[in-house]
Formats: sequence, structure tokens, C-alpha cells
Amino acid sequence: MPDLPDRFRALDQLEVPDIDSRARALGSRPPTEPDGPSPKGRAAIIALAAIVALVGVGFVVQAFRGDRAGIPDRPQPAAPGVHELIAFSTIGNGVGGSKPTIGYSIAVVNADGSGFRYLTQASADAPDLTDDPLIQRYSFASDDSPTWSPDGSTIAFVRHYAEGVDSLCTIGVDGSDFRVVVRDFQGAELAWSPDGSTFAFYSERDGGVHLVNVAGTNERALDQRTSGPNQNTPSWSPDGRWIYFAARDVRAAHPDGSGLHDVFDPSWFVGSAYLSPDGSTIALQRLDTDPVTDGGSVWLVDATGSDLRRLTPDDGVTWSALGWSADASRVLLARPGPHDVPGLWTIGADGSGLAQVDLPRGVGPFGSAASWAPSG
Amino acid sequence: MTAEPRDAVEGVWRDQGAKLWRSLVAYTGDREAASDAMAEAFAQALGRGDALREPDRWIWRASFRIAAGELARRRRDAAAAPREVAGDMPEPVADLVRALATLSPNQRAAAILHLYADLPTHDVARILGCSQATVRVHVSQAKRRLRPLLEENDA
Repeated sequence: MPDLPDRFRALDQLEVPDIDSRARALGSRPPTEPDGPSPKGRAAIIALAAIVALVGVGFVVQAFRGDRAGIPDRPQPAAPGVHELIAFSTIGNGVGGSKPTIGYSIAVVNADGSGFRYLTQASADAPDLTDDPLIQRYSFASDDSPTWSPDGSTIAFVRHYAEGVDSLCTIGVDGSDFRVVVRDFQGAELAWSPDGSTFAFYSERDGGVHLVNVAGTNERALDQRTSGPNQNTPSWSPDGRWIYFAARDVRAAHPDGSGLHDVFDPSWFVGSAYLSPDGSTIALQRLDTDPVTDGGSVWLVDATGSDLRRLTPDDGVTWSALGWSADASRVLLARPGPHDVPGLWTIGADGSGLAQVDLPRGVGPFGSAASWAPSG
Repeated sequence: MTAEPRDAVEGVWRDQGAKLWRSLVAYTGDREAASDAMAEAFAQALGRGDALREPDRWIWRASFRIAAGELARRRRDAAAAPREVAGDMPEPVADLVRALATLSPNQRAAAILHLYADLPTHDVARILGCSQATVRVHVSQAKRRLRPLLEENDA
């Protein structure tokens, strides 16, 4: 059989129609869904977006929220032990898990598999289970990049709407108080600062680390870069004075961009890097030249860039680092499981106690990103 | 909109339009859905003007999300008549598109973007709104499922 890329090249036989004229017939359009609102309605949406941008969206969105009484499967108040929780994105609509869905939802679970619950329902398949009116307008969304507030009360995440515009959102860990903080947000891999004032994130605008105030104001680049490798997975030092990130190697800079320097510069590619909450150690993913075939492994290195040691087994499986437990004793991992279904795992920082986080039956597999609750 | 952003959007159309449309056909299994999603994405890109700093990435992302939204709408529409996937396509393409239709939407998108559009996993991750690790898993899953299906068609 020809190899798969050769099989895909059969697509080149398809004759491309005249889409240019179709796009021009639509004309220049502000972001809307294909069968979106009337011009009058669109004007109202634009006005709403302006209000949202100016005032900070929380209470505006609240105005759209329906009566929540009697809605089944609502997230319940956080159980004791909230600081054991892991927030993660997962495939599934959370309503029995019977329908395949395109997007991810944010859920929380304890490392021992207990306490699972969905926090978001980013699908119009469950129209009465979302507080976000934009879900209805744009059909579905996918929630990703969860990060915890320092006090463990709130989770921020990125909502990717079907029409291509994203939002930076927050929701209480008890499922209350959903807010859209930034309506048109171009970023991922959020990291909440230890003082609670700022998000660091990977920016779609220039591939670098950006910062934005938690109110959604004053977005700025950490490093005024014009080229070079993308800057991924920012994480904060416990005193908030440094931001570490992966950019093929591991780098760090002060939040004002000063003091930028290489922390660890190996001969291989660093896919992600997370500084431990105590500031002592970096968990990083090692990628080789072809990540699809060569997989990845997770390694630890001191925050000074010394004492590199392998953390995950040398088993040929693609391991990814996702973050740390609050006490820096364990590392959160992802790896494909049976039938390549991705799973969440934890491992001691000394390499002991490798264990999968067992999700309840019927819950979709782990999606793409996770974050362990802080100590509060 | 200044001339420069419009030129950039038109450059994406000129240089990547055919590849994008064919990718969307492979993703949706439907020429019309692909055309609609792509036209909408380009129209919105033109409307965003200076706000688009990387129009190519934005257009790819928006196109796939609009197409995904259309697939989600179809899935919800219980009254919709069943569609024949790839019924109007030449045989080698139809085989591939039918095989792709057996994958989950995320696996399908990741496989098309990586194996056909030749995008690196980092760019695929940005388009799909997930991590590189997830893209690698999706592509791996897609390869595993596609090989036996396509071998069966070859037999």
C-alpha cells in the first residue's frame, strides 16, 4: 500500500471551485457565524462586544444567564480536599457521555479519580447547560488551557468558538460565576500569577509569551520579539518575579521582560517546560526531530539548569508534562493508553508511584491540557 | 482596511486556497460544506483587517472551526437525510474520504492538517486549539485506523 501521505495526495485530483467569488459575494464581514444574525442583530452584537470590551464582561454575561434552578447535572460545590483537584479538558458533553462531541469541556477530578465533575458545557448539544449565550450563536466551542487562581477558587480557561474567535473565560470551581474576561482572545497555555493579578500565556499574535491583567486589560508581550522559536507553556516562579517558558530550550525573564536568559539549552527540542511551585525544579518534555514518530519523554532539571534526569519510563510511549502538584512532590503527565486513547497520569518527582488518574466510566478521555490546584 | 492586510489575505487565497479547500473537503466529506466554510473564513478575514497579524493561520483555523460547526449542526439535526460521504468524488479520493469519515473529528482534522497540508504539529495544535501532545496522539490514532481501512480498499 502506498504510504499515507501518498494516499492523501489523491486529494490533489479534486478541482477547486470558484470560492473567490463566493467569498467576495459575502463581502468583508465582522466575525459572525455563517447563518448568523440579521444586520440589526449584528449591530446589537457589535454594540454588546464594545460594552464587553469596555466594562469587563462578567456582569454583562450574567444578564444572559437563565434560571439555573432545576437544571440537572449541575456542578456541585467543591468537596473537601479541593486542593487535591486537577482541572483538565476532556472530550464529552458531560450529559451521560452518549454523544461524540467535537470540542472539549473543562472538568475537575482528584488525583485518585474521585470527585469528577464537569465545570463547563461547551456544546449546543446541551443548550440548557451553558451560561454562555455565544455557544448558542456559534454552535459549539472547545474549552482548553485551564489554570487555577492562587486561592484555588477559580479556573481560567480559553474557549475556542466555532467561528474562529476565542474568549478568555473564568469559572468558579463550584461551577458558578462564569465570565468572559476577554471576548477576542488570541492565546493558550494560561498561567495565573502567584499574586493573582496577571495571566501569562502563549500568544497567537506573535508566537511569544504575553501578559494580560486578570481584568482583561493591558495585554503586552513579555519579549518584543520579531522572530525566533515560539515561546510555549509559561509558568511563574513562586515569588512572581520570573516567568519560565519553553522556546526550543528553557528560558526565563522578569514579567517586565528584563533579565531574559537561557536556563537550560539542550541539544534536543524542549516541547514544554513547567517550573515547580516551590521554584526548585523544571519538568520538561523532550522532543526529537520528528515528534510524531519519535515520541516524547519527560525529564527534570534543576531551576539552575543543572542535574538533568529522566522522569518517565523509557518505554517508547509519548509522555507529556502538564504541571506540578502544589507541594511539588508529583508531576502531572499525559500519555496515550490502550487504543491510543490519551490519559492523565501522575508520578512522584523521584520517579516513584507512576499512576493513571482513573476517570469515571462514560467520561470521555483526557483532552489536551490540565492543571493541578494550588495550595491556596 | 488598508491595502496591506487585504493583500495578505489575498496572498493566503492565492498560495494556500487550493490546499485549504481540499483539506476541508477531506474533513467534511462534502464539497459544498468545504466551500461555504472557506468562503466564510475569507470573508471574515477581510472584515477583520488590521486585527489579523497572521492571516494564514487565522484563516485555516477559522475554516476548520466553521466546518466543524457545520458538522455539529448536521449531527444535531435528527431530521436530516443521511448523506453519502464522497459520493461525487473520483475513486481514490472517495476511498480516502470515506476512511477519514470513520475517525473522530479531531483525529480527522489532525491527520489532514499534518499528513496532507504538511503543517508541523505545533501549527496543527494552534489550529485545533489543543496541545502538540494531543495532536501527536490524534495523528497516531488516525494512522493506526486508516492503514487497515485503506489496505482493505486496495485489496
